Amino acid sequence: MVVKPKSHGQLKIVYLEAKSAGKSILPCGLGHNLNLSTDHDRFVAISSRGLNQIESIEPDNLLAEVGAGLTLSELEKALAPTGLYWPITGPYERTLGGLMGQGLLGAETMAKGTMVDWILGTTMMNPAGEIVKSGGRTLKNVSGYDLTRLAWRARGSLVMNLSFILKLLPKPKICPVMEFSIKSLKLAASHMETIIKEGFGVQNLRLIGDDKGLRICLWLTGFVEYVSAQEEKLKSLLKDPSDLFEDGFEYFNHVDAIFNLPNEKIKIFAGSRKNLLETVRNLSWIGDHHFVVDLGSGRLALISSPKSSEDLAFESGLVLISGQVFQTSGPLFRRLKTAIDPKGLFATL
Amino acid sequence: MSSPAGHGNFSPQSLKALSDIVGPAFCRSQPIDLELYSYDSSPFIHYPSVVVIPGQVEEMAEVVSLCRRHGWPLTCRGAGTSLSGGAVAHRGGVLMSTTRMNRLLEIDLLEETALVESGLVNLDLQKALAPFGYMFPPDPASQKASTLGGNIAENAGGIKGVKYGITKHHVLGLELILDDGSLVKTGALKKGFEFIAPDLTGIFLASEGTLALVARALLKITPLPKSYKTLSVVFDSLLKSGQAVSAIIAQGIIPTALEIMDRRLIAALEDYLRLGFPVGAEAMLLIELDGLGPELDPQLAKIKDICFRSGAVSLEEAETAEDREKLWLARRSGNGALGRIKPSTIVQDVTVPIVHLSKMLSLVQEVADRHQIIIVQMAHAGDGNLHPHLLFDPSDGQEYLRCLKASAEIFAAALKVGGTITGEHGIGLEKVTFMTDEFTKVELDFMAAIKSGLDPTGIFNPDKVLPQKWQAYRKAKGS
Repeated sequence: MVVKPKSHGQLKIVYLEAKSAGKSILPCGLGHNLNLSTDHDRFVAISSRGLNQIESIEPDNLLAEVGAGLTLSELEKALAPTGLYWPITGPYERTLGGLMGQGLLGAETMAKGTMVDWILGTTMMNPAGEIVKSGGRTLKNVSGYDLTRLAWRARGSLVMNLSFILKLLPKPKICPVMEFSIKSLKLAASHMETIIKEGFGVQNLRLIGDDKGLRICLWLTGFVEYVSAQEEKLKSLLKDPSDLFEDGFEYFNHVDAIFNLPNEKIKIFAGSRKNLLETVRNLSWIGDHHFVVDLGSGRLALISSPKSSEDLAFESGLVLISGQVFQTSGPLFRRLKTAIDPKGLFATL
Repeated sequence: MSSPAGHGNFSPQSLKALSDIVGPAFCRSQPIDLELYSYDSSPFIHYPSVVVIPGQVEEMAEVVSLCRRHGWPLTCRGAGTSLSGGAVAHRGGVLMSTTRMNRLLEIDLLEETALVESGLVNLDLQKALAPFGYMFPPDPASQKASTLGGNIAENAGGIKGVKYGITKHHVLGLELILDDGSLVKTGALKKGFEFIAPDLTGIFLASEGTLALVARALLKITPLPKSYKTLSVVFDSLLKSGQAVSAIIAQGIIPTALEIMDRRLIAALEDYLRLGFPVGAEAMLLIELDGLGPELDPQLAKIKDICFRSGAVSLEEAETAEDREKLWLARRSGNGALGRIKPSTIVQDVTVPIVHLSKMLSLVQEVADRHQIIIVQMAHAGDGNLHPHLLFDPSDGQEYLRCLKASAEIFAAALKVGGTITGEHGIGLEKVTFMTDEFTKVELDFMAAIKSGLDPTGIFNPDKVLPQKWQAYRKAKGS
């Protein structure tokens, strides 16, 4: 069963009903990561989607307070008139609460960090059904434990986010993506290493192999003068770009779908940049299958790839993360879970 | 301010057990040793029963395990630069200094990371990174002495916080020692597996050593900026300088640093360093931009315009690297310079939403007037982080009490406008009784559940962060 309360009051009622029925609660967003076909009698999935209010947008404070059920696209639309943005680019039709539980890195990770770095405060429900606030409206806050980060990549197993206070930035003046065609995988790996070590300050750096060929994709954002200077430096390293896209947000959102909604044809691996580039150097690719290497988030997507490519990824030290069971068996998680949810009211899938 | 020495001396057997782990030279219990480790940079003085200085992670873990077995309180200490009493052993017991755990284990330029031990000094890391063209952005004023473990425990900020954020934004993973002496890794130290497991790194940042000990940390490093623009702007009122800061941020300009200094601080610094500061000016704003040269000029022009429109009296741009260094040397020398006015200081660090900065600066001045004390104001103004320095003479007990009352009023004023009682110095002992003003019972219960889950016997840094009612230490045996 999936329920979508629209207020804290409704949420409380659902919580109490589920508790009295002896069911676990599974906090979720729109349920993209849920597999309700199994064990569906065991829990009640509470979607944050109904909590999609925009409490405030405060340009003078560079912050916004919004419900956890708001989607990225709704947030972007609301911020557009202010000239501000939340520097997390990802699957537009997913809720902020759901993405928090999943641990969205965002396409700008290389320069901007992760989603949780742009959350100043949160209101959440703990496993006892109580409302807890953490952080607030200030850029710095070290008062008490940082409970804001408890929900990060926890799949709703520790707390349920109800609202967030988001830190905003002025939207960059320009944000182009440059694509450079590359002849070989070895050369691509070498160039990517150089781009990082030379400190180009890119938002993201990817290598894509698909029907259009092999190419390095670089995302630059900022003031016109800054981007122009970076473009010149890149051209001197990689020659003229084969393609130029004006809107990096749109570009990366499209490609990001691969990482954020994998299916059985897509295998996602994760690991260090060194391991990713080692995999790239050793891959044999002749265009018959597709792949994307995202150095910002440390991931590789193999699309309809032969088993040999997957073996190579493993041999290079990468870890298969798609289709894997979420691991909650570590001693630290177990202790924390037992401490704050001794009766196991929040489900651990 | 002080507590009696000899907070329960350890038996010879207990001392031997600790000495066997870290070696006799690094297990110290002579009065002079205990005296040296009885204080940090706050006014609090509390004596440990014994000081241990482990040199390896395994030694740290064994000490933790022993403390847990015997119920000995354990306070972990980096360089002792805490301004809130976070590094003093409030209930005696074992004080663990991490100063020998100061190795820089790896700089990886491809990953843009540094793997460090917790006792490495912040500035030593900066010096090691600079030749490679990198920095670790958090730069607390104590960076010459403070350790990265301490920075993590307090979630230290610094001057560059406006643009680069604070410590938590640059920690990718931790190697922690839990209360039973076991070692666990979090975040990116799990090497790829972090994607399919909860990332619990965050709960340990700013936990002030009350949940676990940090042994090693994987830090994100950042390319050094290619160029800088630094301005000093003089105002004829503190209020106007605050208004200029709010206006700059509201225009969507994110400088690297935006620092306010008030009249008394300007005069004290000039007396101390002789840099040619405008003695008599009511306020000075230090502004720095960094990045690629071409992007800085348009922003600088906008900032100058905003400053003049906000009532700036004069404005000077640092022409050379030396000029720039002088300005920042002055800012970092603030605490020392104030010793010329009064011998002791309580430094507060309330933080408010940026739109309330001016109002808060005025409120602090009103508090000073009301209590007839000197409060010198400096602020990491760009992120709304005020550092009112309440000056007092330790021999004047009444003055000290007035400072405490004034501090309480400053906390209340910050909370009233949606701020927090601490932006970067931590709760420690100093603000622990004010936690009930900032948090509800439910919130404190929730934090206490986390504390008791990870440290059920309450050995880690007792009496810090959570008020007494929420402390787990009642279960501990004590020393």
